[in-house]
Amino acid sequence: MSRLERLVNLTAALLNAERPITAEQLRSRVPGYPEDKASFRRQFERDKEALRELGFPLITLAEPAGSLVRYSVDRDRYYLRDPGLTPDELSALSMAAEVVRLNGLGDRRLYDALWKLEGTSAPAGQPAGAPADSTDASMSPMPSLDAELPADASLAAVFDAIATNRAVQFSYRDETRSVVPRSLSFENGRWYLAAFDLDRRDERSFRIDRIHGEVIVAAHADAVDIPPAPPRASPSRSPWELGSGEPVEAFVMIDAAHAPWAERHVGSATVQERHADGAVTVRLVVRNSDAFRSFVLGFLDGAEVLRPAALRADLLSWLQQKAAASGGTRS
Amino acid sequence: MKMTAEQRLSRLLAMIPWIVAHDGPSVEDVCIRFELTPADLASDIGLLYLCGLHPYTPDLLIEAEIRDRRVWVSYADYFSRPLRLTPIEGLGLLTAAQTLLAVPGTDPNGPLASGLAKLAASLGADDAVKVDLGTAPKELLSAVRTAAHLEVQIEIDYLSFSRNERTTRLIEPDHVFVAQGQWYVSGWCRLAQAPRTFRVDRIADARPTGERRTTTPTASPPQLFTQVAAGGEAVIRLAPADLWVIEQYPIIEQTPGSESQVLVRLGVSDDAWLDRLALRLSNDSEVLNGPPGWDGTAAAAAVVLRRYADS
Repeated sequence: MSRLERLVNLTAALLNAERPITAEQLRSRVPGYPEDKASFRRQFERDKEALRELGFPLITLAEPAGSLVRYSVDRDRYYLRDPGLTPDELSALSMAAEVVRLNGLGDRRLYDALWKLEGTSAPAGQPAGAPADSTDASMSPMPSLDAELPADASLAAVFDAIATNRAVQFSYRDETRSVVPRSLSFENGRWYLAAFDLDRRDERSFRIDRIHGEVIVAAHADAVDIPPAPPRASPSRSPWELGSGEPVEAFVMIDAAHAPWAERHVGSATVQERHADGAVTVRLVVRNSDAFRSFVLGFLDGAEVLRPAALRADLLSWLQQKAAASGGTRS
Repeated sequence: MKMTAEQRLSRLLAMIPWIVAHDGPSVEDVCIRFELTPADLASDIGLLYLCGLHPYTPDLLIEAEIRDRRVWVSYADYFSRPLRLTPIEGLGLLTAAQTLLAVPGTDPNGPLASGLAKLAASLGADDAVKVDLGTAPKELLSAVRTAAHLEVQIEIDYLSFSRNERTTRLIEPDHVFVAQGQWYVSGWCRLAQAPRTFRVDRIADARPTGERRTTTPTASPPQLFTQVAAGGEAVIRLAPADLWVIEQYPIIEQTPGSESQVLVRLGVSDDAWLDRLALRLSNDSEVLNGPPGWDGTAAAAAVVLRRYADS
């Protein structure tokens, strides 16, 4: 008897059990387990783990205390809720899965997920002659495109919590945070979590890669009393706009070599003047002068703070300190 | 492809509902859909035929067979709907779809968008995932992708951030890819006579030439890390205020220094790149060692100060 056969029968037995069932009962209903008690235990544990990995909502009951552990499958949660995808939609999703990879979660190209969705896709009764239409040029596979996004176990756990309305707990900058996660966003090469912080009673943003250790997902969807999710923040603002200082209007001239990139980066609306040689002068609203200085220094001598005098002086004194320091010695 | 029992179980649990719903689909259709050979399918169906419920009397066994090159499965109601997606699968698909939707040029109202919306709703994850891939303009991205696809040369005006210059180059694009949240195009650069990687958002203009490429495309995109270190290495003492450097750049080695400082060794793409970093560090941090020939932080500051002295 193959392991696959045993796993199929085990799945069938769990799905058909009238009530939670013990390991011994499962053993008597599913052929293929060894006689020896210890090796049965080992193999049963391994099978259980395999089913969990595949997404089985396996429930373990140890009530009343002292009684034998019983198992059952939450049938409401076992089955995929049919998203009602058309063949076109399914093939578009397959293509997306083909060119985009989540790194760090194993090298599974999402085949399993797509197979499961195949199982729901339009059965007979679908109008004939409407198969996935891939002749449209915009739908053709894109061999020259390739995208990799980082991912880790924290990201998957947080996503699970969002989908099932559960709170999570994790360690962040040496503090334990309890939050109700709202959404994940990938910006500037990183994943961010927007969440309602249950201790601070306010919305907070977290960097997923700064979560330390395991994300603990609450066992149940608690009816936690939290305000409705705020509208999603407007497109990400530049770092110099994020601060508590009084807003200051700064004018920066950027040389022709950098002008097109800079304009794309800060937006054409900020351009105050276009110079004959291709340089531009942009107007930026600055609340965080450190971030502003850092941005301007990124252009080295390809940009200049024109005004206000205070920000210009701040940059000059910063540079004078750098010029005077003995740092930068070479080997 | 050799699959584990778990992988075959997963495929089987997805395949059964499809076979049931399609009422005797052909062997070919099943094999194409689920990417397996007819021999593998026969073996899966043969195995399923032996499965069912205790005590495995004929009335409790699943009926599964291949007859007249069609596949039939019945008496398996409990397997007639697929298993839900795992969180990783759900996240992976939503992210993939969101990422492709964020690619300029993808139809925002096409099947990908509607499929994504349906899938997100069925997972209880409406608006749960958002992907932003930076500011590369649509026309440029489309120009380099088309060139890579058609295997032709393209002329670009490139703004080198580090060298403060704008160059015109003929390139033969191999791959257009996203790394660390930015779009890149890699390929053979005829100006440098070497493989190069360019950030798409720093291309000022791109003009197709219609000329066939002269080199063979590489199989996969380059590892950015190895290219980044082309300019040698630097050793930097980082004060706590500058620990962001560790998160933003490829660190080769890091060791704790005194008073919560950290010593890092990192790859340098070129001298100007290190100039920019050195000038942005706080005054409690210091570049201890740069690549041979690098003029040091003070010299970099002096160059920028000269601009202010002139005006």
